[in-house]
Amino acid sequence: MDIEKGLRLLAKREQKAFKADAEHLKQIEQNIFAQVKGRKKSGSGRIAAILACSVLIAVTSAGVTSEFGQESSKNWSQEKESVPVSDYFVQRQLESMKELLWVYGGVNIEKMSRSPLDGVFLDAKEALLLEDKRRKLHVVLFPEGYQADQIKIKEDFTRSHDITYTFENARLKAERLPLRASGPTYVYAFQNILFLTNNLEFQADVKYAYELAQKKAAMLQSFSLEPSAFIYLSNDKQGRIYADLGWREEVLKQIARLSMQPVFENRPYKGSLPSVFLARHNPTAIVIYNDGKGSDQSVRYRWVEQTKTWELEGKQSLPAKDFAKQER
Amino acid sequence: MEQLVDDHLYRVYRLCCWLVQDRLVAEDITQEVFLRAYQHLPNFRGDSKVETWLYRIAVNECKRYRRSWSFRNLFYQADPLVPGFTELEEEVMQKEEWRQLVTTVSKLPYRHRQMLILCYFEELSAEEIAEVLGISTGAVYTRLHRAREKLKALLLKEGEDWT
Repeated sequence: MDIEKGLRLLAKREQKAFKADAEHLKQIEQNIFAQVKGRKKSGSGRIAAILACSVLIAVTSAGVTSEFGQESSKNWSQEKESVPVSDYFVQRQLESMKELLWVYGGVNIEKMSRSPLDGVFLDAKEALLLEDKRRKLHVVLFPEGYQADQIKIKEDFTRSHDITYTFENARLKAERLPLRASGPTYVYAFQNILFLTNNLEFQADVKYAYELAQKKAAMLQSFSLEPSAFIYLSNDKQGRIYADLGWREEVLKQIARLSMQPVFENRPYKGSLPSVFLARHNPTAIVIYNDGKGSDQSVRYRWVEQTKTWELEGKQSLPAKDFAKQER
Repeated sequence: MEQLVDDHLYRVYRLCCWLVQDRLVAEDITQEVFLRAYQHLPNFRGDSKVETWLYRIAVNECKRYRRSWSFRNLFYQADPLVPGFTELEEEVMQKEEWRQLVTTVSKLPYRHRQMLILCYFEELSAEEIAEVLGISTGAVYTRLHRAREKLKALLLKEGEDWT
């Protein structure tokens, strides 16, 4: 039998067999427009929204913890049995958060499970425990618009072997309080996300990652570029993330080298380190130069597979803007 | 944006269904494709057809989904559906032969199945596939050849003699 003929017949059959009724498509269409509307509304706080979107969706994916088979995850699956695990969109938000922590903070989250804080906050959507090789981070996700930074931790160190803590400015489940700890708990909040850890260094890494992500997003936005369309090229060894997006190591090395070469005549300032951003959906890289004082400059390159080189597509200069001030 | 969704929703959704073989997941991915398109619409420079551009986003989103931690570790992966037969097909092929082809295609490694879907199911030209995947036309022909060879090898293993 001829395989070519077989494949063509199979294709015809698949095309005929594919059924998506109009009502179903209408539903998908409505979902798209509802989400587009949501994004338009939050346009003013765009940078924050882009970053917060990494986790702002209610995490209803029961499967997040199931792999680790801990006691808490058993409870989880019992309590949320009816929740479908295949919530791709939610998983994607979590992946975005992992990506942000990795790219901007060098934090490699290796495990996710249910946090013991789950159920403590009445307004929380979800509480997860993220772990890298040696540290643990509790992440509490609140609904969009919730100001997690209003929540204050209140610790009681009066008994050295019985350290307890609770929270202020949040609706709490009284039966779960007070919570016990073996030492101080460090807190960081970003928009509707609350991070808690007993490792000061870990808290600093998370804070640094979110702050750096905000700065880099602002850089792109100053050139009217959509931050979520790009990924920042970190100097650390984060190769896997870029490989997942289809970028090869030699291509990255080449753009990193290229970004250090002057492309502007009368470059207004010396010593400004370039920020390299790779497009997620096309072979484009944007290099932005800014030292916080002078004018901002961006260069657009396009990867040409035939010549295996980055080719200059265009450059742009903007009037002075101080990202450090802008952030404040 | 409405026009974009109206014109392309059906085909993007269908492509996602074929690629991920799960309608619920395909639905989510389709939504994400159009949300991304909405975000990037101002940057779309018309270098390619809108349809090709959307397909490219869809293919990347499907790839991203398949590489996701959750897909690899958590999601229940249903066996691909083996469809029934029509009179016409029975006339053309032996029933068992047909069944083997359908099953084997759906079990092909993703990279090969993706090529066959874009070429045969979506009926895209080599140039269009090249744009969707961001590779050269030559590479498209090479990959298609490999996909067909792999399919042949798998069918042969099952005892079916395909040329």
